[in-house]
Amino acid sequence: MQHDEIQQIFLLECDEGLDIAERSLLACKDGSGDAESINSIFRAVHSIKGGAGAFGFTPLQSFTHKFETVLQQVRDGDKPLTPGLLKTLIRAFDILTDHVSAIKGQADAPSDNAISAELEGIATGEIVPEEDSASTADPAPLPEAEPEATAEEESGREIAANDDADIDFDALLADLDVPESKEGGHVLHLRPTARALDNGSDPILLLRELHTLGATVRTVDASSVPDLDNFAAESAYLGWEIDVPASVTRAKIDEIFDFIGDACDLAIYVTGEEPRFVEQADPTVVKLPEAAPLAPTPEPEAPKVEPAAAPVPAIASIKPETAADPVSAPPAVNAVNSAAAAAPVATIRVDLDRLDRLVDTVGELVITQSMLAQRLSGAGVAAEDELSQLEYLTRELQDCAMALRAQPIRSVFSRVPRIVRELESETGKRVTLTVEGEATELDKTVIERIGEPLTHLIRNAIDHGLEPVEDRITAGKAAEGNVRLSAEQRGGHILICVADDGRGIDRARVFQKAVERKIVAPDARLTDEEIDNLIFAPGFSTAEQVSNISGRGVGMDVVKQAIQGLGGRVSISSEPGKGTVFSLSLPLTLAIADGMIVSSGGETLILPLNNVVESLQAKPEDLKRLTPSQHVINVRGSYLPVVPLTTSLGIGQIAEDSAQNVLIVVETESYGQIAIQVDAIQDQRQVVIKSLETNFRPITGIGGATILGDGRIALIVDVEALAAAAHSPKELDLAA
Amino acid sequence: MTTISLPTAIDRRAVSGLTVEISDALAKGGALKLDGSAVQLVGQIGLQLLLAARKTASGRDARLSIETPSDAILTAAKISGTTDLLGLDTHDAA
Repeated sequence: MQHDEIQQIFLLECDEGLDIAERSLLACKDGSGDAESINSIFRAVHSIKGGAGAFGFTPLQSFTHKFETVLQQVRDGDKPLTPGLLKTLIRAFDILTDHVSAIKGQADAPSDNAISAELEGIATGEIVPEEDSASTADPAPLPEAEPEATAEEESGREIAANDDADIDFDALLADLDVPESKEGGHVLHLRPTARALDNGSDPILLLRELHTLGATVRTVDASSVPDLDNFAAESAYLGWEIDVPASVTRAKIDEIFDFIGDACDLAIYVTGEEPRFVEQADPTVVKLPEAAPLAPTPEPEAPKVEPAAAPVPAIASIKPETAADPVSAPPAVNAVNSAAAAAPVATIRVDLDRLDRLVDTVGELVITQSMLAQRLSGAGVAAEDELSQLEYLTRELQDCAMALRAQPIRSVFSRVPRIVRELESETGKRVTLTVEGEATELDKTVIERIGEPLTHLIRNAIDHGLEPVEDRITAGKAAEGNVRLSAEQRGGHILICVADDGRGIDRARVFQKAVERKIVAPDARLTDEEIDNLIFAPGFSTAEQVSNISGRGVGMDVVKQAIQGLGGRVSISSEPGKGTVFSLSLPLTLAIADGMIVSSGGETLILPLNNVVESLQAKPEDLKRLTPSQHVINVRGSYLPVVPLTTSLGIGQIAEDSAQNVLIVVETESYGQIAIQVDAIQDQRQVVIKSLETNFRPITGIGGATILGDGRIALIVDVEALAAAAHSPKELDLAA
Repeated sequence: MTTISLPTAIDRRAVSGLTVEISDALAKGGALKLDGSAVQLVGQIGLQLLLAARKTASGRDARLSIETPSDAILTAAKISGTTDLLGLDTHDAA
């Protein structure tokens, strides 16, 4: 394992530790915590400290040490966990999070002077946490959990970690360093057991492999070889002490003995640290003279008889503890083996590239399956059962492949408590955050891109949604405002809601601001929903003062764009005086979508089905000509712009008698409903989305491409871009 | 003097017969030569047999030598560090 890989594991462990610590801190805050919560926080901080030391992240190590000291005092009952101290611990946790971000290169190192001084002062008793100094009331004791003190702690020694699953990064790095050393190599003490001779196996092959790498036998112990009267062919009597040069890495040695299992007693030592191999008074123990490594030996000619006797290492089990004598072996070697033995086996980490390739290949399989079905159907081959089964299996495989990319939304939601804490501090408002559905899974790409819009919605809910404490009390509400963040799967979508119990959207004020900013005309008659949606208009803000929380007038616009960019939608539900709910509807996956296959101007195109409201055959009296090239259609009293797909995308001419054409009414986020004019509807099916950006180049008006069942490529229409073009006379840039 | 020709492969199957054959030959006294020229495969089992034969001969004050060792024998002996214990001439070693 390389240094970078070990460091990557450490960084992942940091994230997991922070997650555990935060949950435990919040449990303490809401009163559901117990002494085990403090134990968990201590363990997490202690583990991070250990890794930080191993990798030389000194500021992180130094800070965690101070943090850990106070946690240990709380854990040991030396200090009560008062509300004031809990606040300090939460602030320390936030700084710890910043430190971890810094070592990941995601942020600058935080300034921790103030909180460090506070932690040190609390540890020595010189500082009493702020809130507690005003109160003499005894804190409620935490329910007891099993104490976790160990003998090692009592002896005052540093311990690697209390958690058995922790990784000793020092040991891993020490192991990594050894083979890179040019100074010395390794010494092996090898004693094959009788099992090493089973099934044609032969330890001489191991010696031969080592020999080709320049290893030499230092000592051979033949003292156990009996005379012929007591000789047993199935027994192993020899043992070797072998010098392996520094040019051979420890990993290479491990590789050679990888499949040996318990067939050999093997101990690996750093040269100079090996114990005595055997007493050498016996003449059958030969200490060989030191010699330059022998030249690689040519493979012997294959035996002409007894082909079954060709020796191959055939033992599959691995016995890590045989790698070293627990008493005499150097600590680093032992530590590596124990770490390997304790390594969790429930999950594996896989390169994202490999996952993506799998998902991509499964996508191709879906297309091929569809092509096969169409071809067989066209040829009149009756294979319905087989095709049905193939389709079922393909869908199953596709679901499994997509699930591999899915991650729980917890990683995004976990940022929110800190944001809420910071906003409480900045606004003086008091907020109770409720988080639900953290285990809901979303595509990895969505997870990565949902963080920023979600953060802004939370900021908006607290900054604009919730009233100041005094206003809430005046309105007969609890002083603490409530913000609820939830996620759940609904059909093929994930619904994320950010709800507050604040004042609700002041529609009169929103409308007034929209008029002032010339977003709507003063005499415009808008529904409540339309007024609510004005807050997503670019440049809209009702904030009287621009703050660093929200109110720059760019946030909600960005939120909407980000969600749309993920193929999702944002909707608002608000009730004056009772609160507002922002609902984000996101697709489960970005790789597959339901599409309506249409033809227009001789081309086959796909309209995303989640945009389609209805399709209709236009009657001449429904169409009204606005300009020679622009029509609107009356759909149950509402006039919708008619957008011919042909001219919009530059793929042909509008049919002369447009009344004969089919109109697809689609819903867009920015421009409401439009009617897309096509020649005909062909089909409706799931399509595998291929990125144009990746495979060609971005084209305005086209969201991607797919391969149809007959092998033809069809472009997927970007309905939003089409609607935007319909509202401005400029033609789309398809040919650009 | 007795000469025993070692087989092409001194493996587990060959060893049981050889053990008896060499032991009987040593019991007769005199010098025993093991002709190793035909050996193409020898591993730990074969080396152990040869070492056991040497030890037995030594215990019975008999002489046992491996004559014209093949490359396979010399290589296995060299890799395993048993050249001296088997009384092989290091100059013959491959």
